[in-house]
Amino acid sequence: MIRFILVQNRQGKTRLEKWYSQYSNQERHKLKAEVHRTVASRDQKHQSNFVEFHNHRIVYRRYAGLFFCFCIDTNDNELAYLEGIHLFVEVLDSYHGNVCELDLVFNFYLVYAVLDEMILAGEIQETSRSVILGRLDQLSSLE
Amino acid sequence: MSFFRLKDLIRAVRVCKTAADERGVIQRESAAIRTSFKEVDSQDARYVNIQKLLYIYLLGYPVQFGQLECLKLVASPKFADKRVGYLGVTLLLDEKQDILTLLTNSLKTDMHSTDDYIVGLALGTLSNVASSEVAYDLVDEVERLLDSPRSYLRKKATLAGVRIIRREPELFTPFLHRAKSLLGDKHHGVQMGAVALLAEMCNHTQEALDEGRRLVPVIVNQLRALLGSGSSPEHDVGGISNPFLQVAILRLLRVVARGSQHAADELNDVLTLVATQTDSSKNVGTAILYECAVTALAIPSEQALRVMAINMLGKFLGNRDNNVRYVALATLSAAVITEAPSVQRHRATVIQCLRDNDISIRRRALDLSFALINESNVKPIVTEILRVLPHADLEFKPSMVYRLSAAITLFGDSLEWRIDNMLRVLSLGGKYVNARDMFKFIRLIALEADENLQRRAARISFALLERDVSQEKMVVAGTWLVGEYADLLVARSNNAAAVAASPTSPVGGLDDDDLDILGALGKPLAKKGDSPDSSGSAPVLAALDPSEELPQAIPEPADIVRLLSAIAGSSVVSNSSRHIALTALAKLSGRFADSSATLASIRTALGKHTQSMDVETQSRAVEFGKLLSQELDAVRTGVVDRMPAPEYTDVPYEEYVLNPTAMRMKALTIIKRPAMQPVDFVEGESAKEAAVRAAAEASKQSVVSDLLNLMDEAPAAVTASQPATAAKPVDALADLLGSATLSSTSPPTKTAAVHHVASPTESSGGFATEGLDSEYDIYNSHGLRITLTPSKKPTLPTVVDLLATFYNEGEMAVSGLNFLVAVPKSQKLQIQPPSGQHISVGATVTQLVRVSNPTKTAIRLRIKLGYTVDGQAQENMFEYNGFPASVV
Repeated sequence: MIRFILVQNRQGKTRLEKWYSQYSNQERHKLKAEVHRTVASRDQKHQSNFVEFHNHRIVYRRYAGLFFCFCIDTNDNELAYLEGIHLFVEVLDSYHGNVCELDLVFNFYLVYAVLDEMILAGEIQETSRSVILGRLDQLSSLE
Repeated sequence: MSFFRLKDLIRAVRVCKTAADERGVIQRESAAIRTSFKEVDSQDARYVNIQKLLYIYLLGYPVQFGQLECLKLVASPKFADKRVGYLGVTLLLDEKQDILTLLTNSLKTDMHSTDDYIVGLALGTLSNVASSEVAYDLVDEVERLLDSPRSYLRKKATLAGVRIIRREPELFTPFLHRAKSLLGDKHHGVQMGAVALLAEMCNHTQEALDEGRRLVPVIVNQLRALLGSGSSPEHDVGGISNPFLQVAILRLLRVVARGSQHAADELNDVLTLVATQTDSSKNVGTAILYECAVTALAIPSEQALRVMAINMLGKFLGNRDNNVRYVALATLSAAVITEAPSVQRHRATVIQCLRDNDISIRRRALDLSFALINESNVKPIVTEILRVLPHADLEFKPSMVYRLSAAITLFGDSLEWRIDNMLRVLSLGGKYVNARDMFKFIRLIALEADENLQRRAARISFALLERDVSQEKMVVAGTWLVGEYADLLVARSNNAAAVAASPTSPVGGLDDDDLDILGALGKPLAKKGDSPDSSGSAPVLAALDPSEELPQAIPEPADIVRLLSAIAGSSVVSNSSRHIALTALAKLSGRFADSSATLASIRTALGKHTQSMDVETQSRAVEFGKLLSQELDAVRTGVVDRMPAPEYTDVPYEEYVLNPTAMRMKALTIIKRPAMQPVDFVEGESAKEAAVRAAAEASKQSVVSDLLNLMDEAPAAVTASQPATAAKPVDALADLLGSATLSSTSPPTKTAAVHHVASPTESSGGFATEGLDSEYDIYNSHGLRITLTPSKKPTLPTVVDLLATFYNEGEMAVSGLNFLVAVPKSQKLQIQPPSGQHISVGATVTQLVRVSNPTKTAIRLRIKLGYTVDGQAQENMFEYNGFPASVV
């Protein structure tokens, strides 16, 4: 299962955090800093997108200045979650129309809405881009 | 000052130049929001305030004061309000907070809403934050929604079910009933949820696992449908129909088929189909193939399928994508336990990965290379690893040289090969060799090698030290060898033949070329001392190729003195090397006592250090100088004579040093079928399980009774049955047997038999013939199960290794593990640190306890156990003596 999801920029500012396991506020702060240190310092070209992290594993991918990190169990399929990250970014891209970091900053609550349509309880819920986008459109028409 | 909208706040934060500015803005805004909460009771204001608050939270500031307001906002009838309110709840609350119970009512009301979207919101929130209490209160609502006509709600309800099961596994009944229909749902989203739900239940309860095994045909059908024509084109990725669902199904199949040959046989065809039909050119394809291989290896599948899985992973090693190589290496490392021969076939590719660009791939390749080493391939693999050692990452080197030493010692067949390669390790990575490994090497030469090998080792060391003195442990060991065996080192007519036998060594003493080399190297050494920046290993010197013969030198006594004094005088060597060099110089005085010229040069060399700033160096130089003076001629020979071989008990290397996964994978029967296949799978399986359970019960029973016994009469019985006079012959006999049967597996039983005869009063255990290498349950509570596996090395008949394995079978992580053991006075104890103090759910941790039991009394352990689970510290103290009498 996914333990938590973080989206951070290169300076370590958190743009999205979602916790599927029990972590206290203090632990959350510590983990955010640690993930940033671990991931940002890696060689993006020559290193794999997976890194051991305590008893778990982080699968991450960098899009422009943003690191999308999923912390998963070590017996989970890293390659599939990497694809999951890509799907999430694709959906964000279609939803915002060529997404950039600022979109995520100003519409952070919408990013959570996107995430909740795709992942729940640490498990992937829906993997079809069109289904997710269709649902999101219906939701925004309600506001 | 309050900013009116969220956007304005974000803009204001963004224009802040400094962190202090930002803090100021946030503080003012937080204060404004706080006031607004107190004074204005309108949902519109609350909506904006909570939005702002969440933004502030994301920036990392404390906003806990807004928790209650989130709950109020959730109560609003408007969807938009609820959305922000629930988002606030999931971010600001965690399940530990009591306030969460206040949420239960809102969730319940919303789950009854006529608006599907509001129901969806509530289900989503439940899935993300539910605690045990919430799970109990709302399981009925979730159950109802599983039958909803809307697939949108069904899929969210299944995942809410996953969360509920994780918190309260015993709530599985309503979900298990619907597993079949949910798995067969035509919407992929619902199927995804159903697969996750069933896997979660199977992990927790046997009943669910049995049901899961019955459902295998249904699950397999769904997978086949995916492999066929696209049933749901909008879920395709890169031409592959719903890869996420395929991966999830393969994972579920792994969960249900572990330990069941019957289920594994049902999967055989579909796994083969997945393996052959999936296009591996895209990431999604490799993800599926990878999951397929992992599943094939993790269940008792047929051999052909396992080989296919290994070959698939072997092919991944050649993939251009780092990620694919990474997962392949990780999986192969785990598989090497059961599939060693198939993995061996990919050795060359693995070794290639030692030179990969990606450090994590190099690390994994290194682990796997070591895990692959056995008697037959130790030579080529060690050569290959030695080849990369000089270029390896600094962080790897200490563990590399350690594991190289272990591999060479464990698997090297000839003593000569072992010595040569230890010298290679020392010369290429002597900086990183730990002192214990170096002592082992010296002990090996002093104790086991004959004169020819000692000479060879000393000559090689001499040649190596002339090239390079930057590898510390090489300098220490080499200097010691040169000093100790100096008399063998120099050319003597009677051993010229032995030297001539080795092709690349300079033949027959020093000719002109050798003199050149020696002359040249005596100087660079001295020069090195002058220029501090050349302390690193010079590239030319480090280029010792591990596949070539090691160089040997046959120096004259004068050359030895010059080399040693150059080492003692070099500024690049450590002080301890310098001390050894001085001692070696003193020893030379005994080896070449008849040459006054040599003695004179030794005195000069020692004399240079009588003014050393280092106290130890100075005192050695002065004392040895004194020793060499003529008035001490009579005693000197005795002092500087050949050292007796060091006497201390050697702690042998363990094989798990090379393959740590071997420690973790205890129950191989779960993932591999036994060599002899029982005719009736199902019955054979359940009978075996029953037997295992019965044995566990029995051992538990005996623990209880033994514990009672221990209190009153047992200690007396032990001492009575082991009178001091009888104990000694038993020991001697056991030793004899133990060492006589070095390679066979019988010593445990033999020692047991001996013990049997010696103390018939104790042999009532009934386990007399077995006992070793089986697991004994000693503790099971709060989801933590602890077992002890006693084992013995044939070389150490009086030592019992107890491998404690900690299984976390509960649903909470166990942390702060502290396992202490005490033994009776007649036994000695050594406890290794555990492999971890934190055990996540389903994981295991191991710890080795070594009991040295020279008197062969029954092993009784007093155990103190401490750990924390679910925030609660547990402390336990208990005794264990449930081992059969054969385990001594």
